[in-house]
Amino acid sequence: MSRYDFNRDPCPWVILNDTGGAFAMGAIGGGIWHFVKGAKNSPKGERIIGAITAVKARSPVLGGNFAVWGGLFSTFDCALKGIRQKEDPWNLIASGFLTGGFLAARGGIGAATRSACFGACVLAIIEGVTFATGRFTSPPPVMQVPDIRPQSPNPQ
Amino acid sequence: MMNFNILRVQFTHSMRTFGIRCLPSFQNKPVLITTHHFIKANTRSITRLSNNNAHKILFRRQYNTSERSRKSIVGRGKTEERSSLTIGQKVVGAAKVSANISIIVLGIGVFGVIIYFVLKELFSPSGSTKVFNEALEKIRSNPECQKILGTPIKGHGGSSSSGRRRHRLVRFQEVINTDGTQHKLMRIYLEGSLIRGTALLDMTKNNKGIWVTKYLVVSIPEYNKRIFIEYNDDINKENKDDEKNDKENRI
Repeated sequence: MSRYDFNRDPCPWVILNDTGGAFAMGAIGGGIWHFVKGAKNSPKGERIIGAITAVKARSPVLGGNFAVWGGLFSTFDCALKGIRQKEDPWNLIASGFLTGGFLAARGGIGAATRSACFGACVLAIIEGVTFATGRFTSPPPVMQVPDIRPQSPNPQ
Repeated sequence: MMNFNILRVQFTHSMRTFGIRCLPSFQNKPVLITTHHFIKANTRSITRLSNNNAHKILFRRQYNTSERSRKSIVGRGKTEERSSLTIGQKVVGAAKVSANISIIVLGIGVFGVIIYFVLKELFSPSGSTKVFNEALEKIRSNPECQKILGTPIKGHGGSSSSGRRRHRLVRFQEVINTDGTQHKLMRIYLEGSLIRGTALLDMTKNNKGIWVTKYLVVSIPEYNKRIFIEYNDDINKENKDDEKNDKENRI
């Protein structure tokens, strides 16, 4: 590994990593969600059994849906990185757009467009949240800006 | 009639033993619905005929439900008339409405801030995305960089040391210099086909308050070499030129 990107998988492998991470996220979140929902919807006296049944039936499905979304998103992201040779927020937004459109493609052009715009908006909002938190959590530090000068007065 | 009484007793008994859960399934059966109608019609005669507890319960239940529905109708009428509310109720209602509206306004405000940041970072000329793309274009079109790094030059922001950031997006690092001026630093990690390098971009505000690039330099640590792509010795130079032009025009 180079010293520039430790802690991080290179591009084809990051798809696997993202798929697994998304599955775990969906399964855990769906487990909590369906546990509460199952307990609420079961009759008195059978709440725990009903909740466990609901979790067993539904949360792997939700995890699978998340995994499909995450894996496809990561695939598109890697493809765009390879094509554009640079990494900027447009990659993320475009891959959210493509993922949403791709997954809703069976519903026709209208449904696919709507879903694609929704995916792009979600990714744009996530970007905005990270920008905003980065801005509000850390005030600019005081430091000596490296004053680099060329040897010749006029470069090029 | 006595036969029917026995049937009723069994019915209520079974209701009790199986619990509330069994009620809907019982009520769905057509036979039981007919008995229910019969009871409605003859509740009084049944109570007179037998002093059974079950009938009392049934009778009371029916009586209670009708009473409840009548009460609810009256209650609805009351809430619609605002003038008949007491002051306390009015205060509570106003507080509820204002709390709901404030939550909505807060949500819209947070959403607006997020949208502002998205638009600013993606589209504004001093936003990180645009500056990054322009700087990368300059680096890619520089012949010396092309020669040393190798032609397809990839550009990204490095991953943070903790590895928490999943995407290597380029961000500005906003700092305040020791002399008190605001600076924006941007470090771009370059990967050519031959060798890696880093580019450092320093932006600062000139005396008109516009962000100006002070330098953009590509450093290649393995060759211990620096390539200057852009260097502004004096960030207020353009403004001075403008002032000179203004003076000349005046003369």
